[in-house]
Amino acid sequence: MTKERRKPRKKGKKHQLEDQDFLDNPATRTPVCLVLDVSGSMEGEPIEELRRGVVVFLEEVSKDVIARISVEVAAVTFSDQAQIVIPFSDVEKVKMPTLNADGWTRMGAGVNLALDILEERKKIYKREGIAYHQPWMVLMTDGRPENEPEEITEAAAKRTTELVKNKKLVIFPLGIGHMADREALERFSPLWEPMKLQGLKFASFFRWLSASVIDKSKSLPEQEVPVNTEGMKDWAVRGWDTYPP
Amino acid sequence: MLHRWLAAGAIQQGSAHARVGVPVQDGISIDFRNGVVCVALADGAGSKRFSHLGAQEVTRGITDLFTSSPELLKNMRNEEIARSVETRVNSVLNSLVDSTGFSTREFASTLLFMAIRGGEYVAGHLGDGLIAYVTGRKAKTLSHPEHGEFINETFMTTSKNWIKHLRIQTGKIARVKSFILMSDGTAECMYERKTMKLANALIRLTRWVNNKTTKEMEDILSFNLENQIGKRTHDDVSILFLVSSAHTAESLAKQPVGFAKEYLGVSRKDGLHSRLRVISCLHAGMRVKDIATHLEISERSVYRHLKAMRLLGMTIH
Repeated sequence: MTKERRKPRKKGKKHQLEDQDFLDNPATRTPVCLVLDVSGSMEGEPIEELRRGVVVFLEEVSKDVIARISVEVAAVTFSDQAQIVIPFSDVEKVKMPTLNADGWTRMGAGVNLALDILEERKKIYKREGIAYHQPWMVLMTDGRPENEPEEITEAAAKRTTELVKNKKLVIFPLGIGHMADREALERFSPLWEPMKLQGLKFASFFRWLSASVIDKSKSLPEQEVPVNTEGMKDWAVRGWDTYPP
Repeated sequence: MLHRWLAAGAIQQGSAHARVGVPVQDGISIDFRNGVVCVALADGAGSKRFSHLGAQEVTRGITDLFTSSPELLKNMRNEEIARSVETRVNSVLNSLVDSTGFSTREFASTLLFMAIRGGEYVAGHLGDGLIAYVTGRKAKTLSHPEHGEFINETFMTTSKNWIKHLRIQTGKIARVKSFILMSDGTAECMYERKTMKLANALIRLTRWVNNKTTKEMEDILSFNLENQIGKRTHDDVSILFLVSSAHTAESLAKQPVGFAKEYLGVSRKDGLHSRLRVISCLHAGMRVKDIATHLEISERSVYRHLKAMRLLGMTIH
């Protein structure tokens, strides 16, 4: 076993500590998981705009010096099955894949998978001594759970409800288009009212999301950062309980 | 041999607070009275408007508690000490509520403190931040930070059942050169979370503040908070040192006058000379009566010197 060689000290100001006198801790992480509906009804412009919106989110977060090293993003899609399309990564390293719309809407499976990868990520943080904020989950759908056993949907909803109530998860449920089922989304989100997107304004939504996540990543320990509800006007529809309390 | 503890601290506002005009939310307090030295540090909750007031007043309340009640450092059980702390903290917070009209929650802070009397100590720790000590050439942790699962969760003086999270330690001090209390902003570059290792900075700072006046110690700490430690985080940073200092009359006489006067608790040079002569006589094994005769002063004067030194927490071997 070799002994670590210390760098020779520079002759600086008397009683001034130097870089080698300190220890480094990894940056505090803010894990964000996008849970995206890619069922058949999303085919065409909706899926393209959704993909563009995610790219906007990644770009906006990457521009911020602090958020760039703090925010970690993953994305899970759900249709006939749930799939990880972006495993947890630093935003700068993410290559946004193509999204294909096809199949049913197994929302519970998507949410369960997202929760599983969030738990795995937290285990890694704990093992490596990395501090982290509450994870964020963004759940987006243009419909409701379809062709999915009720117990799977129920299990996923129960998991998110418990986590939210215990302040272990922040969830943003978002409806797309006129067929989006508000009650279906409400099952997953006991505190935050589901919002509906204005048309296909994914880019506006993701721009708002990136600003919120950036604020969170910069917050100090013991600091609560309220979500910017004012900024929701740019992308949220009036009439589907637009501004939650 | 004379021995006493010296204390100094410093606070630096973080860039995040400076940017938005929020006052520094860390608070520190130091008190020497009745043979007890007590230091306390608190970090106000980031999201609470008046947590800086909470931090300042709670730390003052705690140093006042221990220096006015030396019996807390003598054979008291940890639960009794915790109850006394709880009573004082609640009293301070209630006073703030009464004087401002704001709710208790607005004054939330963590709390770290250390009180020493003779060779005994009491240490208390609520929330994050760290209490370390230096012995020989090693820095060790006396009390680790306590967080909830997330970085923005810790335990504060306004948390439900906070007293259950107040960790009290008592014991005898052996071969400790310094105790160091720090807020989590400072701990960010002094304590490695994964390995719980401590930075070499603590050993170097201990060496530098040795045999310095309070002002000199504060200058060294402030300088490093501003130019090094504070640049490694955007949070407020604060640090408190308790340094063990031992001297003979001869070694004190060789120190700068400013240091020797502060060490012995005298304000004038002639007072310094008188006290040094009394100490020399004590070291020679003389009794009070003999010292009075030898120095041609009254016994009452000798007792006044002894009392003054005892009140500073000084021990004479």
